[in-house]
Amino acid sequence: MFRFSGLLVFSGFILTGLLGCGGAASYQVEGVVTLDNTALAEGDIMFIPVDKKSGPEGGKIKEGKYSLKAPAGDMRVEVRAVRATGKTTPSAAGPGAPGDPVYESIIPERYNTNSELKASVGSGKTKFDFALKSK
Amino acid sequence: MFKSERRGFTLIELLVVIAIIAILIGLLLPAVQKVREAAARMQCSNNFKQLGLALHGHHDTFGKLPPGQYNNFYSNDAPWIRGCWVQPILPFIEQDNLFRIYDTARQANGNWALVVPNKDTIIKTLVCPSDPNGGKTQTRDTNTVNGVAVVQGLYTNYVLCAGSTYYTTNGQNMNGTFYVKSEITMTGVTDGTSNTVFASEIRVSPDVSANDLRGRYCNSWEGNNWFSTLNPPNTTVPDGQQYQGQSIVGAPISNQGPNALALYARSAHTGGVQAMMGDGSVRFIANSIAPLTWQAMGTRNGGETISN
Repeated sequence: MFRFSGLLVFSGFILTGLLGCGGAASYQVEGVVTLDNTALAEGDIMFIPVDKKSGPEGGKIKEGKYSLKAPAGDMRVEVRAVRATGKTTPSAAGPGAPGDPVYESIIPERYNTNSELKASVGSGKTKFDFALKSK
Repeated sequence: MFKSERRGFTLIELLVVIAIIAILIGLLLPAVQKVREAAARMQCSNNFKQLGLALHGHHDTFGKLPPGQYNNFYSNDAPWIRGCWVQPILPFIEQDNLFRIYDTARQANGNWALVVPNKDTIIKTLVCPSDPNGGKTQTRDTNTVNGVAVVQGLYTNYVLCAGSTYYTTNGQNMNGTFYVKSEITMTGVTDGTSNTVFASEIRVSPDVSANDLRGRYCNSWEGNNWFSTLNPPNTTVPDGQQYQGQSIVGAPISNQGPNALALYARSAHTGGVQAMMGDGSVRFIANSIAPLTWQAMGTRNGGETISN
């Protein structure tokens, strides 16, 4: 009987050890991003923990949908997307030399550089849709 | 008479022996892989030390560190060199011949580093042995100059630290040590060289469907030989560049506009990246480093202190 309880205590230790190693839980977060009620064809989304204890988590937006792993907590969310302007910068190497394409952001700064988007990730809170307006 | 005195092994015995051998091999193989990676990491850290010596050698000779890049992003400011910090340190990593070829060709060709010969020479000191795509010289660029397809040369794994923010619009005046037209002296690193990251590594991406600029040294024009400590090592946030790019596992990339450009430190090592501090010491930086600490390490004059 003593031996049995010893075993029980031992396995208890192991269990606590394993649980301790788990660290901060992270959640699979997903949702839909629209710009002026149209799904954003391609772009990037970032979940930045407000407490800055861990780094931002990034994901790509494809056809409006995104999915990424984020830790629990309050997040500042940034969305970025670009379109090619069709222009290229002139090249010093003369005509025919590679010019550089010029991109411009199609998402207003209030959704990225000065983001107002927020999300609070936690158990049961993993679905966040963002409806963005270009104006 | 035939006497079957000889005793053979039963099937069970054979199977047991084979199973034991299989288990032993199973134990051994991961160990071999680990040792291989450990050796590669040591070599990588040695490369960083060479790089550190080279940067210090450049500083001793010219009184300043090499510029991160010669030209502004997306502009044609003269002289249009399209080179970066790699060319000026070539003589200090025993690539004096390569430097002479570069310098001669550059002077003959209106300065452009892209048109110099031998730029696809693999400089082992600048390639991480752990990166499966290390030593890339192939490019998928469809551009031509005077009817000849452009070849872009070697892509290096090692990149210098531009600071802790997105790249500035023209790439100048960043808070790190290497940026466009930077001429930082050791005394200009007021946080102290042992508290400031000079170099770290990136993963090179093969050009499968698009041209990936990350690590390209002979035609660098948007900080593709730098990194920012804005996000921690091996972040899930994609690198941002204006021009093309090919995402791979562990090194995603997205096209971005001018105010969201940066590369982040990435490696094929387990759990983090190697980084070289300004004093030449090499540290292994875990992915889980506190983001603010990593940012503080990236600045040369932020006034922060770094514990440990």
